[in-house]
Amino acid sequence: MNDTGRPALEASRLSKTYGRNEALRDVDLRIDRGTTTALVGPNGAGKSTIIKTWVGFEWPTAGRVAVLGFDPRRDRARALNHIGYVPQATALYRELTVEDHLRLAVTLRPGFDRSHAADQLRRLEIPLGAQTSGLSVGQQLQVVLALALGTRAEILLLDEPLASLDPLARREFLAVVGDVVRARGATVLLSSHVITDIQQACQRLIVLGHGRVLLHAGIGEAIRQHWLAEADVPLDGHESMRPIGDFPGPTNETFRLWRREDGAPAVPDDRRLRPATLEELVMGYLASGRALTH
Amino acid sequence: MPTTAILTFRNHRFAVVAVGVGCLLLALAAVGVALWLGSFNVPQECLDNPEIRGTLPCLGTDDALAINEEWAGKVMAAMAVLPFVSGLLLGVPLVGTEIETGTATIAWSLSSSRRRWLLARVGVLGVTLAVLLAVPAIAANALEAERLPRFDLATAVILDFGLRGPLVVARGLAMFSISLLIGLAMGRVLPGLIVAGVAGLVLYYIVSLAQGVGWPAPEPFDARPGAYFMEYPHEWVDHEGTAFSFQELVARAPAPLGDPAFDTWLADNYREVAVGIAGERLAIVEQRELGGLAVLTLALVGTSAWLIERRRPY
Repeated sequence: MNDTGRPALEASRLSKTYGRNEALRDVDLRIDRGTTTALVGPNGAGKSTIIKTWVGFEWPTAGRVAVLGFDPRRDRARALNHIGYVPQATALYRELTVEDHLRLAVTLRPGFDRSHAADQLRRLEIPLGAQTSGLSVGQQLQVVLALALGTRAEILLLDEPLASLDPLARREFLAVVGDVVRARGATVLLSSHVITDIQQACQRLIVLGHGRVLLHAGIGEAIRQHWLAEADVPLDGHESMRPIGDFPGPTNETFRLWRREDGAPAVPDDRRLRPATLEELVMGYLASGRALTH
Repeated sequence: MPTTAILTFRNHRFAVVAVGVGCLLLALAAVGVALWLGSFNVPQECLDNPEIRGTLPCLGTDDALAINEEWAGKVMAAMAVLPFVSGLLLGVPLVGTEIETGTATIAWSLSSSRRRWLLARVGVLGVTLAVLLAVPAIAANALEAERLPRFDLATAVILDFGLRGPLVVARGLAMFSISLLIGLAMGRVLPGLIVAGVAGLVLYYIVSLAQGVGWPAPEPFDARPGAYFMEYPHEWVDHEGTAFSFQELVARAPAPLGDPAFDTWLADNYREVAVGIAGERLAIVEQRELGGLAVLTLALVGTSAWLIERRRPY
């Protein structure tokens, strides 16, 4: 199959329910090849669910997903061959060494690049002979990342890998991911709660809230389009600005996120507005998602 | 394949070592008790005639019978439990642990075929289990040959069926496949062990019922007379070959039970026979049960291979 024109990851009218809980509702997404995308949202937003659907661990209740055009449910082998996956819970085999994990990966994935994964771990000074039970959380995560990188897959799906890491380990992790993107032009989807780190690591942003896509845009473009003001300040004369959501500030005040519509001046002539940070932008959209639900 | 085998052993080393030690100890116990019984070298006439057991050649008879009863009986009872526990210990954690600890998430994301991943591990542990169980199964056959009173195993009613020989291995593998499926379905080791244990008991009951259907019908046959008639079904046949129970003979007898005329009448007209399946037909009976267990084992492994493609790894 010629898949050069296909997006790396695709979801069309994707819904997923667990009993009465709706994890994803009519999600349409298209993630282009060679992009690094952050997937952010609160707990229960559906971030892990959508990633697991691409890996083939979850099956859609409705709609469809595709990995380079392959349906992970019907054509799991071909879809998985394009994916390197770092799961949320980085459980390694406690009885095995790091080296054993690499050998295991060689038996499981044809073409697994053991030397590449080993080099990666040596660079981080993680001993290959160490029992994984003796490694720190950050080192265990690096082992899982090395396994994903050793697959030489075009697409890396990283499901909240940063949450349990200290700031230095987060930087190291993101540096490795960045190297892969630069060297291979890989497509990376990184789900995370940690907003501060993703701005430098990712080009695009998806905000997922309550099972829906609230925003999908380039990070730079999104920051240029969003502005912030105190919520109780009326913004008369700004018809080209659309309110997104209100959220509490650090000192008890409430802020409102505004989105500049197409055609509006790049910088509004209003001192009550200031550019939103990425974190404020995400907070505003998450607040809007909550409002939509309620 | 060697890498897969080594890593599978390392992953399940506790269960493999536990089963290995259990099999080895039981095999040693069976051989030890067999040698112990053999060392008494009890003459057959001492077994046939309790009244001479106080005489010189029969002095060890009572001790030998006590060892036979206590130790050989315990070893054979353990042989009933060994395949059950071994299959349980190796089967439930094979996938259950991976799902419970989260390692299945990594393994299944790396493997393009979960089915191949499963079958490789089932092959490694299944062959290991078969080899380990074969050791006590062979040793139990040796013990059976030394048990008292000495039966000619080829002609006596089948003794300790399923507690020795290839059925021990087949029952262990059937238990392994049930445990595998339950461990995979539940994704939890401790509840899996409990549920698989109950399922194993149900299977044992079903196999017992199926034996009545699948086995050849019991029939009277001449066997060496001896003490085993006290323990195993027996009848009397007349000169035309018609079989009667002892109660029927008492009703037909011209003299009451206890009268010497009764004994004379019985000896003149009837011959005592064993009722059951002769040991010489053991191979036929074993083959039928082996076939049934093989089909069951393959069906359960096949169901696991089907289920693993549909199950979440967590």
